[in-house]
Amino acid sequence: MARPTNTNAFSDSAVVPGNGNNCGQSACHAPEAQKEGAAAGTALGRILRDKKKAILTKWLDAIMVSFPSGNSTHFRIKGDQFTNPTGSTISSGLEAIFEGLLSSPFKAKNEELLDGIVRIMAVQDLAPSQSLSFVFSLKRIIREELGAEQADRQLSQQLTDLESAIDGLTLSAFDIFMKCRERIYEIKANEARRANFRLLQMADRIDSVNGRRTAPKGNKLTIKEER
Amino acid sequence: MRILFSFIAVLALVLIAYAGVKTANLQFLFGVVVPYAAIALFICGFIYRVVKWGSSPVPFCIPTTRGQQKSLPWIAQNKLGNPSNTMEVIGRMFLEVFLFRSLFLNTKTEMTSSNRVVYGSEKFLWLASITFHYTFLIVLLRHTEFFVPTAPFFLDIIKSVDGFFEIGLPRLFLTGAVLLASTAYLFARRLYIPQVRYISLAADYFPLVLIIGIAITGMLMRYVYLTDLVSVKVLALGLLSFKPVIPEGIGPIFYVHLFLVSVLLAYFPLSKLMHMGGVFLSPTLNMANDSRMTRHINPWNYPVHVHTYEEYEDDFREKMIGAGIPVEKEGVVNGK
Amino acid sequence: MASKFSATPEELSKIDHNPPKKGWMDTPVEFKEHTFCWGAKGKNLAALELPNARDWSPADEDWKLPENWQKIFLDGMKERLGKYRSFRLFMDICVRCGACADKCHFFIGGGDPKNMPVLRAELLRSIYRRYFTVSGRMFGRAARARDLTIDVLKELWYYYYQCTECRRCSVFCPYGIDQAEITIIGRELFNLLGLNIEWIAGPVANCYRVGNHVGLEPHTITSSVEFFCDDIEDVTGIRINPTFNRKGAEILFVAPSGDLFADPGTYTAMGYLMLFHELGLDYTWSTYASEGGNFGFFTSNEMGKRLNAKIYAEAKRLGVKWILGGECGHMWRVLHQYMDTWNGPADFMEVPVSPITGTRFENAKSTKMVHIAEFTADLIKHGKLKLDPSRNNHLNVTWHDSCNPSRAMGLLDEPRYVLKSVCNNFYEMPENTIREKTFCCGSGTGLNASENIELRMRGGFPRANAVKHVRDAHGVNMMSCICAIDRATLKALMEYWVPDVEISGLHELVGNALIMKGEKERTLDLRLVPLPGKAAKE
Ligand code: HEM
Ligand code: SF4
Ligand code: SF4
Repeated sequence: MARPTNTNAFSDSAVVPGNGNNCGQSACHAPEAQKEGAAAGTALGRILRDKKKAILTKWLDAIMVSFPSGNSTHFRIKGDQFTNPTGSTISSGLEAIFEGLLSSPFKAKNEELLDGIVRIMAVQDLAPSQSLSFVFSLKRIIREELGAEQADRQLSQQLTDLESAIDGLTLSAFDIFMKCRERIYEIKANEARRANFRLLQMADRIDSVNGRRTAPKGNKLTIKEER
Repeated sequence: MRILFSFIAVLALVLIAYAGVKTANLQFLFGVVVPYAAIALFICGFIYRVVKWGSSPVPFCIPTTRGQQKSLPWIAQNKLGNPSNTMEVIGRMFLEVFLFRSLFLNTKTEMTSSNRVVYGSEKFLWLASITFHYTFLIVLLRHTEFFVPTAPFFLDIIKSVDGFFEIGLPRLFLTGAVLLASTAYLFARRLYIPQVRYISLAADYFPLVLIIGIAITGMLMRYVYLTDLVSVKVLALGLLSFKPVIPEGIGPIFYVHLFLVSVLLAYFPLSKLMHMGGVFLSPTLNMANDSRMTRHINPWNYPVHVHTYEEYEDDFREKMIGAGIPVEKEGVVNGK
Repeated sequence: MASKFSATPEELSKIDHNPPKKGWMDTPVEFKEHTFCWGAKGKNLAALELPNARDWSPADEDWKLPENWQKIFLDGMKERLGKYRSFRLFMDICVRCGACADKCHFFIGGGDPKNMPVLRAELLRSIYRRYFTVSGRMFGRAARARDLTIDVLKELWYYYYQCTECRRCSVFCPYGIDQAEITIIGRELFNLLGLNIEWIAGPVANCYRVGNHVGLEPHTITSSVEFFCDDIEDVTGIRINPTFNRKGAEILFVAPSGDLFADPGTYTAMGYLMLFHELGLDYTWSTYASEGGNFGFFTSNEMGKRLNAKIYAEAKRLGVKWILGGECGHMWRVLHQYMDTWNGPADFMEVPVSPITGTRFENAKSTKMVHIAEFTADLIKHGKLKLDPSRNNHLNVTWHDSCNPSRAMGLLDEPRYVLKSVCNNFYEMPENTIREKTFCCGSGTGLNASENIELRMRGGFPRANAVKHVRDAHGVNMMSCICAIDRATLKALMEYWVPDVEISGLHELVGNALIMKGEKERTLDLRLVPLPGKAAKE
């Protein structure tokens, strides 16, 4: 079903995750999730999967609001993986994380998915709170979507479980964010070190006044980079 | 605002012409004076703009290369993306001007992560632009029948292909409808693609609305308020031979159509519609990528202050000697 | 960092789906930290005889402009409209079709609408309309024309130092409108007011007096090269003794100075040295013309010319027959499209002929300067090099087309041919991200500073994302390129986005694969890292 997804790729209606080129065909993920998912098997899991499209739309909205006004327009557009990497990383990432939450175990894989999004957020000149509030907002969005159904006792227990999973996700997101920021500083330092390394090496071995080499050959500095 | 402004402006133009002819009987003004003025403005303005562009020189050879350069004989050059001589440049320009190649290149078949083929939305820009321009051209050519006593040979061809859906009488010309549709699409995309909407100016909506207006009035004349083509031809030939006459029996709708066309003509040289002429002058497209083969001359190249080797050696002579680098003036210290 | 954020969940859920309701003319510029570079130091501007030399900071309210700055700017604009057809035409004919809008890496990675190429141009067009067109003078704002106020100047400055002059937008524009060309002229105008950035002005001042961007003095250059020779000796057992400023050499070799001091460019320099030694090439380095790159080009046409003049002057002084150029992107933009026009004719030299293969480089017959990828591809084609590509077997290599050689020259298949000859595992990135559609490293045109690191990471994301794709699909662990800025900045980019991918120059891999006469068995690569499977034998 080679639907020309992008007929209206720039229109807002086309940005709905799950409506785009990755998995609008929610069918393509569902069977796989169901076969192992604990939450997937639960009543809550089934309900949420039914509401997936609405939830993901709201969730995408929530992340987009973090960006300065106007900057998110392009990211909402469901472009292709290479022409709109930012937008597609975010929307397909959210969808996969959501799927991950409905299945279990989800932790390891979700961190990887979160990493893709948070890594982008960490260089958008946003405060951490701004960058990460989207994770929290999933709780609110889910409750909104559940409406009256959340009163159901059985559901409510499952909901609590899900929410603590989201809390865990938030913490991971924070860790990733901090790592990204640290990385930026390391990169700056590494870059300066790389740029000056040979000069240091030379300073170590030549007499800068008359330009003659002083140190014997083989006297090498070693460069260490932080990873 | 910008959009509303364009609509109001065109509507106002329609009303002016309609009222002028219907109530004030200004047929001569709208049938003769305005068209002459518009054509004069168009021609003079067009020439002025092109001459103005032409009067700025092209100091550097700056083609944008879209493909492999001509270098070693065994490496296949992309002659149309990266031309190295005039013939190849003509080929490149031909593709640009007649097929809108750059816009087409925008279109790429993509494999998405789920391995399905999708097409970029840009395909539609290319499609709409090219249909718009060609239907516009055909409609223009069709109009030549009013300006020549006997129909030129290409008219029959156009007409027979164009109107091959003979739906009732008069024949429905496809081009008119397609022109309208493609213009409407170009307009619509300015509204619903957020980025394009953000960059659009009144000057972008106005010509589109104007052209929609021209197309609608034209079609109205053809299919609804049938106009006496013989009289129109008399008027047109009169204009052409500088012996203007205003024949009887032409409805106001014709004058509205003519007025909108006149406005388009007059507006043309003032606006971005000049891309028609400009595309031919664009240095990134119309130059051969031969800057290492033939020296390109900059007419205003002027001498500049440089740091000469002598100054450099004076600064560093000792260090150079120390490092075993040959110098021009051995034994000279500090420039003395 | 952006101001404090304190939205409630309720506020968060109120979303504006569209671009800002307000038009771009009503959205004032906000100088975001980590997005712009520091202002140029007065002493550097003065050293270059540039106007309004003083220390200044873009973050300050007061930019210390001359009294009549508007007049200077507008007069400068008028002058350039008369001097550059490109400028006048590009101010006039854009139809705002939006084809270029989503092609700029800064827009793709950061989303700021003013980073759409068409809007970047409109920022200046609005001034053009106001002061140089009838409709703009008459209708003002309605015709999207606006006065040149200090805020408008700042906005222009902010966004014109967020363009790497990569020409990607030009490739997609039906009229070839090239924002790079507009940015070049915009930056010339800023320089009339002393508004350069330090990361450009500093290197330019160095280059002017000392001969190269980093300010390597002659003895530093020779010792730097000597160190490379030490390392080469360790790797191959062969001692190389290159010459400097030697009169009567057949060929002058000019490389970007980045290759002389910054890793991983230094390994590329080692590759050059090994190749030339193996060929027995009669060539010399120059300490005077020790910079092929040209940050002057990011300042003004005149400054570009002033720095570039040294290359022909030195070729003439040394009496060489032709010039060979190393791996650098914007260096080749200048050499290919500008040098001959600025400082030619080079009639004191001969049409370049490879002394090894006898090939006449007809494509360089006027400028008399050959790209080393052309030179090496020709050697390999004629079977003049003995290569052992398996020495690069531990590398899964992809190729980054640098902007300038791709879109201002078309040097695409020569380096690929070389690359495929020296390594066995080569994988292309996706089609829309290579060749003439290549994505910029995000740090070109002097924007490779550290204070604007977030801008660089955002701008480089489209490139990094494509690398990530080939890493995941093919296990790519090395991206090779022919640009000194790339070698420095892609490294940083990879460290952030795709940490396990390294960066190399083309001739580093050539150096690894090159079988030299009389060499010892190689156990190390040029980085002095043991070659897998070979180290044990030592
Ligand atoms: C290389 C050749 C040309 C190309 C690539 C080209 C492309 C375009 C594009 C992309 C548009 C904008 C559509 C939009 O509004 O989004 C346009 C509009 C237009 N073009 Fe062309 N064009 C070319 C030549 C011409 C010529 C020869 C004419 C002669 C009449 C012309 C007349 C117009 C008109 C009347 C419009 C519509 C007004 C508007 O869009 O504002 N064009 N063209
Ligand atoms: S592609 Fe060209 S004509 Fe279209 S908006 Fe961009 S610069 Fe203007
Ligand atoms: S030249 Fe490159 S950086 Fe500048 S606007 Fe165009 S695409 Fe963006």
